[in-house]
Amino acid sequence: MEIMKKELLNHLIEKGKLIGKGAESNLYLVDYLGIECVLKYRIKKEYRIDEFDKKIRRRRTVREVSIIQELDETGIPVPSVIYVNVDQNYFLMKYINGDRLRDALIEMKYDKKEIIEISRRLGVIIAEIHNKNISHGDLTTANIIVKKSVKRIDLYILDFGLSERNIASEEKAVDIDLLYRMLEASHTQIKKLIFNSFLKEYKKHVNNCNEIILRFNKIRKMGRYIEERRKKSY
Amino acid sequence: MKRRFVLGIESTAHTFGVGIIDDDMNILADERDTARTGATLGIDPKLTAEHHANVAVNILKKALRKSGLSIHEISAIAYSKGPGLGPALRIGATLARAVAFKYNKPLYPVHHGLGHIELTTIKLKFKDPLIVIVSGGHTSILSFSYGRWRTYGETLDITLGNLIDMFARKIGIPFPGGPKIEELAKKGRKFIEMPYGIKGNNMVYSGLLTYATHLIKKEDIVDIAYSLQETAFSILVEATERALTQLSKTELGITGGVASNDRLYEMMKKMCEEHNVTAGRLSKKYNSDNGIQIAVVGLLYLLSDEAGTPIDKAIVKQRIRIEEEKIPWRS
Repeated sequence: MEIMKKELLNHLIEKGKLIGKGAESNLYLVDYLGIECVLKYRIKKEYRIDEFDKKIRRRRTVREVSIIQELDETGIPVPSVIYVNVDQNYFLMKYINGDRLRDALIEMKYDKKEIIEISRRLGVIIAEIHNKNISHGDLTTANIIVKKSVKRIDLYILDFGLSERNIASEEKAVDIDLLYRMLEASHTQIKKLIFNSFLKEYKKHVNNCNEIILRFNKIRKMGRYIEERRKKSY
Repeated sequence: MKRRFVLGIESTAHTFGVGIIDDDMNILADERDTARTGATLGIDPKLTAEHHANVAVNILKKALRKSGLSIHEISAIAYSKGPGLGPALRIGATLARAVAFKYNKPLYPVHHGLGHIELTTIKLKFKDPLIVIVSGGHTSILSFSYGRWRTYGETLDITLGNLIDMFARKIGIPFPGGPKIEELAKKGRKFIEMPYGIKGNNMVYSGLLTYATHLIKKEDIVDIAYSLQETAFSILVEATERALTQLSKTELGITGGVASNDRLYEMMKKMCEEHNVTAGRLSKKYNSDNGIQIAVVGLLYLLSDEAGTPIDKAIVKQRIRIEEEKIPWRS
């Protein structure tokens, strides 16, 4: 049994297709018992010393899987987890056929109305996640999948590798800050449209809104050498 | 066309430097002098300014002599306007204004960090790199987008340079502590797990400093230095890796004083290999503050036909973010 378990990873990777190379893991599209799955494999980081690297990878895999499951069970749109192997730092989740928001925005796939709709939807989902006192930890447009059909737009949130439980307003604000910075760096021209639509809905749905926004404005001013600490607040 | 020459004055922190380059960015002179502080002291703005005031004119004369140019042949004067220590910055700015006024030269105030970025990008022949600037004053991950260098991630409290220097001082090593800590870390064998401060793409280092400080009498100093470096660098490399993949960059330039740390560079290179990214850094000499980096940005303004700044507008700013700088020479 043990040998089979160990061999499964190689078998899946061999038969599968590499579809993404993230910062800390490789993603493969695989077939597992007839289900189209994504295999997320946390790869060894040569730059980190061995024992530290092992600890980090294991810790993050365990946490990621348990958080995805918790969110999935309560109806947050995340890919369902199908299989986990903590010792080998990988797990399988259901494949979602859609566009990565980052790529779709760069390719200008959506019109203004759709961008607003997507941003609003994102605001609601992130508020729901935060209301469970869970942070995403890496909230960027690359971690959002958009599934668009004639009638509707659905969003899915991916990658909870840096996600944390029992968080305070500070971590929620960090999520918002990360999204803001990401928009600034990658989607400079439409950042205001996206962020303002996002924030409007987010504020409507999130608990403890004032405190989070206060924190967010504070974090934005936490960088070094900020002269204008009175810049426009959200 | 007639050759043009730019003179750059750097006085942000410890180092007072004057650099002269021609319009092909050849270095004609690079003179500097660094203020020394006591073993357990940090940088003292007043003493540093005094040091700069004492050496400024001599360094300028030396640089001109080395370049073989007379001041009349210089096409423009650039100086470091910040961010940095007010009293230190003012010495460089005052000298720059005086020379520009007396000899009627265009004057360019230059963002110090921009000097690190552009010197590194140009010397490494990078087109659209991710830049990690890591020093006593900066720890930021930057990329160029729509006319400005933008911060993708940065430290939310102290810089990596601060962290290492402050820890060094606590064990009695004077500035610059970096090279000594690097030596100690090489002898470390035991890894002690320390607070891993990563918040989104931002780094948090002050908890790490506190933690390492508490261990001073409890653990072998070489093991603390080793674990401190490994933890602090892993945080930065991880954030950098995320930025690279997120922004799909193929070049990484590392600059600033801490870029001279071989372990950090090794880690960055290993990370880059996995993503087919070219990593590069300048020699130790040009990772540290210098007049050349200021002259390079001055030349870029000159070549972009930017008008010089009038003397009464040529001020210093202790706090100024990189995003505030418009970059006319990149698109």
